[in-house]
Amino acid sequence: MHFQDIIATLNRFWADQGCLLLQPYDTEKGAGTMSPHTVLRAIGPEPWAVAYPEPCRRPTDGRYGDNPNRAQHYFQYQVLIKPSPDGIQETYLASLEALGIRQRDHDIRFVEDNWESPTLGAWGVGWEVWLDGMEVTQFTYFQQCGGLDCRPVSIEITYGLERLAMYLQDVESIWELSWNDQRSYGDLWLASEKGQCTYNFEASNPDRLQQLFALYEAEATDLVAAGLPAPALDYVLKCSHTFNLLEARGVISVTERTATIGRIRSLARQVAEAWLQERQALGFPLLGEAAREALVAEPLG
Amino acid sequence: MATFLLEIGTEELPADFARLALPQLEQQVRHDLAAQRLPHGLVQATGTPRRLVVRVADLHLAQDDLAEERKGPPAAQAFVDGRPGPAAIGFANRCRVDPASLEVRQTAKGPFVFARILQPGRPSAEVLAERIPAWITGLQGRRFMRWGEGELRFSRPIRWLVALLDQQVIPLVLEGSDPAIRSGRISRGHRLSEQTPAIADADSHSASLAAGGVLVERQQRADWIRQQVLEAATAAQARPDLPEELFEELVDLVESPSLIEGSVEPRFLALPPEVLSTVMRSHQRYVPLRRLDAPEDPLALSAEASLLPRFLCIGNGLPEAADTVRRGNERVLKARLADAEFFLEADRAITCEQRRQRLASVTFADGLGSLLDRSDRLHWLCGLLLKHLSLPPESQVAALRAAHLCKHDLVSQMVGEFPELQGVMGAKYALAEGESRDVALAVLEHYLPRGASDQPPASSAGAVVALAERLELLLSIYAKGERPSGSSDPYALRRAGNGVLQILWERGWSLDLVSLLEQATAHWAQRLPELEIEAPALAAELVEALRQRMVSLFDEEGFDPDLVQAVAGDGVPAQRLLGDPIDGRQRLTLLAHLRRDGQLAPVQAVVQRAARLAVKGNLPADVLSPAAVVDPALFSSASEAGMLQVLEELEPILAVRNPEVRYRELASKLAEGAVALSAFFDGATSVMVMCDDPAVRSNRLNLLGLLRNQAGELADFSRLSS
Repeated sequence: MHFQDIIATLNRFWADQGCLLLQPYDTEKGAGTMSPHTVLRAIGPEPWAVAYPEPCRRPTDGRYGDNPNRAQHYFQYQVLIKPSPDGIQETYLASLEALGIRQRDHDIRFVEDNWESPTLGAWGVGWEVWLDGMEVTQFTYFQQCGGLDCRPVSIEITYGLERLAMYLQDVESIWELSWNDQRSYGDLWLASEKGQCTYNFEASNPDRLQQLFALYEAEATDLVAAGLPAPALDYVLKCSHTFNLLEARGVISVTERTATIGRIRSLARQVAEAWLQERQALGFPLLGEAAREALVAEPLG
Repeated sequence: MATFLLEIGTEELPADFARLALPQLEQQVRHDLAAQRLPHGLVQATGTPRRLVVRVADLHLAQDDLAEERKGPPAAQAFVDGRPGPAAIGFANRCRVDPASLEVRQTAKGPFVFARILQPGRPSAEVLAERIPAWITGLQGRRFMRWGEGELRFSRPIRWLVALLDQQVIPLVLEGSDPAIRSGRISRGHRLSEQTPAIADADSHSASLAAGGVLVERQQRADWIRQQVLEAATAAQARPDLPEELFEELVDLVESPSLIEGSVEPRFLALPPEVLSTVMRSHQRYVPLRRLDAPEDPLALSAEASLLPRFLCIGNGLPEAADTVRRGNERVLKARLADAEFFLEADRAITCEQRRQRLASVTFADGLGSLLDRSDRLHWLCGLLLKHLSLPPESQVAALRAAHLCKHDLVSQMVGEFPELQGVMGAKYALAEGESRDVALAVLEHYLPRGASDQPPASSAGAVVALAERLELLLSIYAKGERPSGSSDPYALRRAGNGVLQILWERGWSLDLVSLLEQATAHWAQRLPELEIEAPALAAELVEALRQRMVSLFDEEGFDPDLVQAVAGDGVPAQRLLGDPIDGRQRLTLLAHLRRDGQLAPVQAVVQRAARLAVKGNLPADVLSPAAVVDPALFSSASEAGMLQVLEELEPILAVRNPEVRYRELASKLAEGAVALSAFFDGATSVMVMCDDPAVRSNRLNLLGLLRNQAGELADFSRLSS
C-alpha cells in the first residue's frame, strides 16, 4: 500500500465512522495534537469527531537523512473523538484491518503509556500500540487540556504513518517508501530533510532565535490579554517550535528547559481559558439543543 | 454454600495496576464480607491485562442473623400500672420490636427495660449486589482516569462485569461509567479468540476463559514464563537478565503467553552492554541473555564479553503468527540499535575534553551561566571538599580529574537519546581515552545515589565528586533565589540535600558543612556578582535546608518523631547538627536503642522534671561543671549529695574527645544514675526545690540546671514525649 493510499484508506475509514475530515493546520508543530482541531476542540462540552493527517517537525530528531528511521519532518494521522465511545479499541483495530494488518497474523498490544505535554498543560492516559514490538500508534484519553479538566473526555488516536508504511511495504528505510507508484518518500522529502537539518543544527542563528522566541512570547501574551484565543494559539505554537529549534542547537540545559516550558504552559493555559469563554459566548453551537440549554443556563465552574 | 465470582472487565490495564490491585481487592472483599456477616471460605484474586477477578469459595447463601440486646429506660418510668407507658413504647419503636416483647431485668442500678432485637440475615446475592460497586471504586492506583461522559474514575475504562453466585447472575448496575455497565455472565476472551465466553457458573470461570484463549490464573502465567525463560536460557548456555520488576510486568502484559526467541546481528555487540539492555529491557521488554562467564564491568565499552546476540520476548499472539512476530520484533530492535550505533560513532569522533568545551554553549539556568560554568564551580567545590576531608593523595587526584570531566557526556549523542545512561557513558568514553579506572569510576558514580533506595558511590573519589555535584546545585539554585516549595521542586533540590547527608553517613566522613558553606557562598558571591548574593544569609539558609533534610531522612527511616525532634528539631543550633552530620545520627541511634531497651524512660522523666524547674533559676545553658555553682555546704538531704555525685561523674565524660564513646558513656551513666537522680524529687530523702531560703533554693536550681545542661549534650529532652 502506497503512503498516499494509507492516508486515503484512513480517511475513508474514519469518515465512515462519522469523523469530519479536516486538513493540516498551517503552523509548524511538533505533533498533530497541537493543531487547534485537537488541542482546542478537546476543551469544553461540545461533541467533536475529526480525522486529519498532520505534518510534524521535531528538529532534534533530524539525522540529515542518514538514519533510515528518523527524520525531523514526518507525518501523523490524527483522530479525535469526544466523548470517547465504547468499543473504540475495536474500531481502531478494524482500521488496521482496513490497512491490511490482520490481527490474527500479529501480536498487537496496548501497552500503558501516559501522555503528557508540559508545554500544553495537557495530559491523558492510554497506551502505545505495539505491532509485533513496534510502536505504531498512540492512544490517549484526554484528562486535562490547557490546565482545564476535559468534560467529556476525548479519545485521541495518533498513527505514526511512516512506521506503519514501512511495515506494510516491508522496506527498511523511510526514504525507500513508495509515496505512489512512481515517487518514493525520498524523492519528495530527502533533499529538504538535509537542508532543514543543516539549518536546525548549523545554520540557524541561536541569538536571533532567542530574539524570535521573546517576540513570539510577547505577541502571544498580548493576544491572550486581548481575548483572541485563535491567533494566540498560533503564537504559542511558534514559541514552541522556536524553543525546539533552540534545543536542536543544544543551547538549552535541562534546568533552563523547565523554566521556559513553564512559561509556554502558562500561555497555553490562558489560551485554553479564552477559547472556552469564546465558545460559551457563542452558546456552544455544536451542542445538541437540549444539552445547550442545560449548559448555557449555568456558568461554567 | 456457593461460589461467588466477580470479573471486572476493562480495556488494557497498566501492568503494575493489574498486579497491585489484586491484593487490595482480596483484602477489601474479605473485610467487607466479615462486616456483612457473610461467612466464607478462600478469597482469591487474579487478573490479566483485561480483567480483575475475585473468587470466594463456600460463601453462605445468607448473612448470619444478628441478635442484639439494647438497654432502655428504668422499669419504673417505662411501665404505668404494669403496662408499657409512653417511654416503653417509644423505646420499642426505636428498636422496631413489639412493646409486649420488652423484658425487665435487674441491673446494678435497679430494674431496667431491655429489648431483644433479631435482625434476620439477608440473602447474600442481595448484599453482594449492593457492595460490589464499592469494591470497584475502592481500588487505589496512580493516574486514574475518566472516560466518555462518565465521572467514574478507574485505571482504564471498565467495559463489562460478570457477577455470579454459582449459576445465578447477581444483577447490578455500575453507575458513573459511560456507558453504565450491567452485570451478566458474558465475559470476553482473548482479543484473537472468536469465542465470547458465557460463564455458566462461578466454578467454571477459568475453564470458560481458557476456551476463550485466556490464561486467567496469574500464578500459572508467571510459572510458565519463568520456566520457559529459564529453559531457553539454559539451552543457550546463558543467564536471563530478567529483573523481578520486568518479570512481573511481562506476566501482566499477556493473557496467553508464548515464548519468542529472536536474534540480534552480532555487530551490535560492539555497543555498550547497558545500551543493549536498556533498549531490550526498558524500551522493548525483552529479556537479554548474559553469558555465563560475563565479567561485572560497568566500564566495558563493548558487550562482546557479556551478552549473547539473542533475546527472549514474551508474546501474546497466535502460534501460527510466531514467525511474523519474531521478524517484526527483530526488525524493531535492529532499528533502535542502528540508531545507537550511529550515536556511538558520532560520540567517539571527538574527545571528552572537546565535549566538555561544548558544555559552554548549553545554558545551565537563568543567571547561572552555562553547563561549563557549572562544571567549573563543581570542580572548585571538589577542591574545597578535599581540603576539609583527609583522603589519600591518589583519591584526591582522581576526584579532581573526575570533577573536571564528569559532565562531558551530557552533550553526547548517546546520553541525548538515553538520558538514564548519563555518567555511565561518560565513564566508558573517558576510560577508552586512557583515563585511569579510578577517574572513570568516579565519573560513573558521581550521580549516585539516584534516590532514597539507591547505593551511594563505592569509591572515595566518586563520593567527593558526588558531594560536589549536589552542593553545586544547591548553592547555585538557592543563589538565584529559587526554593523548593510544597510539591514543587523542579530542580530536585531536596533529593540533592538528601544525597549530601546519605553520602556523608554512608562513608562515615566528618565534615563541617557550616564552615564549608560559608566559604562556598563567599566564593559564589564573587563568581556570580549579578546575583548580588549575601553570602552569610545564603549559607544560613542552606544550612537550615539541610537540617530539614536531616529531620525528614530520620523520619523516613522510622525513628520516633519525638527523638528526631530532640536531636535535630527547630531549636537545635545549626552548628551542632551540620558541623558534623555524623554526630546527630550517632546520638539519635543511641537514644533509639535506649528507648528500645527501656532505659530511656527513667532518664527522660528525671531530666524533663529537672529542666522544667530549672527555668525558674538562672544557670546559663553552657555551664557544665558543678564546681563553681553548687555548694555542698547548703545541702540538707542525702538526695542532693546523690545528685551532685552523678553530676560530678558526668562532667569528665563530657570531655571525652571521641563523640561515639562520649555519648555512649553519657547515656549509660545517666541511665545508671536515674534512681539517684529521681530520689531528689520523690521518696524519703526528696527535697523541696522552691524553698524559702534563697541560697538553698538557688543551689538546688543550679543542680537541676546542670543536669539539664549535661543531658543536653545528648539531646533536647524537653522534646521527648512520654
